[in-house]
Amino acid sequence: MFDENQKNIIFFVAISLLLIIMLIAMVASIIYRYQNYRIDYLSNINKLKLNHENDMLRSQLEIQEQTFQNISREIHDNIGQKLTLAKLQLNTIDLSREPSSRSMVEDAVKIIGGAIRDLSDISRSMSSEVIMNSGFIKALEFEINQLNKTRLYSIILKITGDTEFMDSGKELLLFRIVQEALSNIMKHSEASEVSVDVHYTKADLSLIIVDNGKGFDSKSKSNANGLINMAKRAKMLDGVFEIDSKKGEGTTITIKIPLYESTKV
Amino acid sequence: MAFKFFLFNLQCAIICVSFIFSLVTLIRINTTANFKGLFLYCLFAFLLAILSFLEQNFYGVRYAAIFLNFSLIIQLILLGNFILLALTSVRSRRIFRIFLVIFVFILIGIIFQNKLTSMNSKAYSFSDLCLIIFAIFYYLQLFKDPPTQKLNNQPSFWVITGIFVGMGINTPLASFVDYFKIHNSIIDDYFFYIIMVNGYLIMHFFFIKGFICLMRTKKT
Repeated sequence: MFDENQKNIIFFVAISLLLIIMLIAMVASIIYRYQNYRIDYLSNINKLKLNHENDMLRSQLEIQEQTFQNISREIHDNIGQKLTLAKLQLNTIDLSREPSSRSMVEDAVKIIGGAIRDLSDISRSMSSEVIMNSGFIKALEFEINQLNKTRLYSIILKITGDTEFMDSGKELLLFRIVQEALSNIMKHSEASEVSVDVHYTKADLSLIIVDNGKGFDSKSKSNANGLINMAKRAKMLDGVFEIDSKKGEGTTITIKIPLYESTKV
Repeated sequence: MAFKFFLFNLQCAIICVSFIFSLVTLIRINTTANFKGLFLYCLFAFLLAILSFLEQNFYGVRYAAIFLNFSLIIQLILLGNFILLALTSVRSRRIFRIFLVIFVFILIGIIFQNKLTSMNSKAYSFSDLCLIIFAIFYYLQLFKDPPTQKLNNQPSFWVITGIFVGMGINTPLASFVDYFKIHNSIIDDYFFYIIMVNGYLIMHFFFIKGFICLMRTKKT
């Protein structure tokens, strides 16, 4: 069919085409490998960034806790002691000579006594020892009781599921998130009723805080410092933080964190 | 014969387009030294293409082979320098500069060892192989440096890929020229030149892609 010359030419052209295909395949494989190399590199960079951010946040939180501890100690040791001394001195006054001053002194003693109790409660609230010693639920109950005593709010705490104890550091972080949320409700929401639902499952802990306040546009305020801090703390716990609020419709904060390493949310 | 003419003229056309792109890029953008060198290569290829076109279509093939043989030296210097400047490591550049000088002298020696008026397949093979080696080192270096840019957006990558593919096609073909000349009466220098234009065609296509990429990168 083909003579020797033609066969050689056909062979030559076929080799050329094969060469072209091989070379283009080589280049395509280089491009593919480079893309994978770039993806791995960017992923490592992101991990390093995240680790660095977490380390920074951890340092900030440690400094914050240390500051709280110092203030708590100062309140207890200095201010509390001085007020106690003032109360004792008032109690030693002989009121039999001046009965008209009796009611004033008694009032002063009551006020100072109330101030000592309030300072003691603030000191306990700031101190991380409550959580370290009693656990997250006890600390939360204490905090909510303090707020209910003011009679400005009605805060209902509901706990469901079997309570699991976590690492005290994690419980402290979680407690601070709830403290921040309740503090924001007090400052901004004008709410009268708040419900705090704590639900334990085998894998995770869900915390839902709902208030009947004035609400806000959650999308526009998403970069507010307080919200960012809460979200960062939840992320440090490998959890999820969501906030849902509309003007005039109150606010719902949902925090879900895994109880164990292997059940990350 | 018609097919050979078509391929030959197509190569001239693509080289012209490549030269126009390089000229436009040079005028519009403040290009780096390696792209200025590439412009010089495109200019040289354009002049050679015009000369070959005139000789082929009007005067017959007479002196094309001499020019083509010496053009390999210019090609090795300019394209080798382009790849060299695309390397980011200073140490690699120094080493490659030394190798480039050595290769150029070896190439000159090979060219003068054979008849200047016929196609020197050894010179073609050697020159193309040197460029392939440089291109491979460029690819290896890509995987050592941090991949801060997407490969598609790097003009140097496209140009060097063009060199790699173009020379990769021509190198084995050039190596077989003498064998086929002996064993096949219809295969002559001109036939091989026409076949090898495919390598240059593809190379210049990639050059055009590289220039387009460069213009886009500078715009953004």
